[in-house]
This record gives sequence, structure tokens and C-alpha cells, in this order.
Amino acid sequence: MRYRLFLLLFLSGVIFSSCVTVQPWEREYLADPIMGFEGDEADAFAEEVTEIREASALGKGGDGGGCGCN
Amino acid sequence: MASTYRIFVTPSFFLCMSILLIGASPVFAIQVGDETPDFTTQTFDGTELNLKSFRGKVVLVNFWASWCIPCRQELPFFAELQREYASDDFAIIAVNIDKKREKAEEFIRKFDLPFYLVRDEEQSIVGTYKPPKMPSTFFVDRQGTIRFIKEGFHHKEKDEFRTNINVLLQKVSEEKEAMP
Repeated sequence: MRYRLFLLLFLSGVIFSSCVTVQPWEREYLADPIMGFEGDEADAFAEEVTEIREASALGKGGDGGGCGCN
Repeated sequence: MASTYRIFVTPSFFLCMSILLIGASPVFAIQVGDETPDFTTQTFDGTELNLKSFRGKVVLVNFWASWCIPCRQELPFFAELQREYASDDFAIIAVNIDKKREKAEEFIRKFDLPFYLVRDEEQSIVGTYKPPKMPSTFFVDRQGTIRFIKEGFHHKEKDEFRTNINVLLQKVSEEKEAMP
């Protein structure tokens, strides 16, 4: 029983010790646009390519044709 | 069943809460009324700057970074302020905390910024001041005491800066203080 309790406490400690507060001046990498949920320029390009490629099959909304000129 | 609950769940709960509280506890930052921690650093053009040598002047110590959008809006306003108070005993020291110096240089090249722009290469100054937000501005009086701390920046708050500077320059009475 004690062994289980110790294991539980140890695991809880390991899991929750990863909770840290990132200070405002340490947010350089978090402030990077690439960290945003809305995606970055690379994502937008990949989406454009996917749209061009899949449009004829209405893969992503179906706007435009396959020439990539719109 | 009850004893299992008592043995496992209760200690685990308290352990988790205490760990979370430790993680979320506020850092011991500088408060209004504290003496300004001194620092010596270099400006972007390589001149040595020591904060203590500004005693007798009203000083704004500002922390900024090129990745912080409000900071980028704030610095041109500081240029405006510096020009407005050019004839007074007033100085602005903008401490840059970018990890890469080039990013900051790229930004400041775009503007004519007539105040002290210094680097915090090791992030030791910011680690001492622990600004509550980015940007943050510490208003230091002539005796070297922090009198106001302005967190963040918004265009609507420009007058707060002027009011606080005027208070410290004794151009208006303290009753008109805009910020706590």
C-alpha cells in the first residue's frame, strides 16, 4: 500500500512539475507568429497548393480551377 | 473504500495543488517605493551607461523587445516625449531584451529615437526588474526611487505618461497622479 502511495505521489510530482509560469520577458519564442493557432505563411502557402491541387475534386471548398492563376 | 480515498486521493490532491501554486506564485518583482536597482550596460552604439549617473533627473526605465507589438508602438511615442521634455531634467532609457541584437537594430533603424537605447545582453537587468508585462515602464524620481510602474502600452494612455512625468518634474501636484 505504501509503495503504491509513494508511486502515485512520485508520478504526480513528475507530471505537475512541468507546470511553470513563463514570465512576460521570456515570451520571445511564444510571441513568434509561427506559434499561433491560425497558422503562418508556410501554412497559407501549403493551403493554397492544396486548394489548387484539390479544387477540381472539390477537396477544399472548390474555388478556382487547376491552373493556380486565381 | 473510504480509507482508499483518504490514503490516495487526499494526499495527491494536496500535492498537486501545492505544485500548481508554486508554479503560479508571483515573482518577487520591484514595487513602487523601492530604490531603483542600479545597472551598467552598453548602448547600441557601444557607450557605457550607468543608471546611478542619472541621479537628479527624472528617468523612465522601459523594457522592450522587437517581438512585442505594443513595444513597437511605444518607442516612437517615447521619441515624442523626449522631445517634449528636452529642456527638463528628464531621460528615457529603453532596455532591449531581444535574444538577437540584429532584430532590435533592424527595428530601431526605422525610427529616429533620441533617447538612450541599451542592450540587456544576458537578460540580467530584466531578471532583476521583473517587468509585470511587456512593455513595462518604471518611472524613477530624482532620488532614484520608483514612483510609478506602467504596465503595457496603449495609445489612449499617452496622457498618463505625461501626467506622471509632470508629477515627478513637479510641474503638477501629486494630487493629479493618474496612476497608482
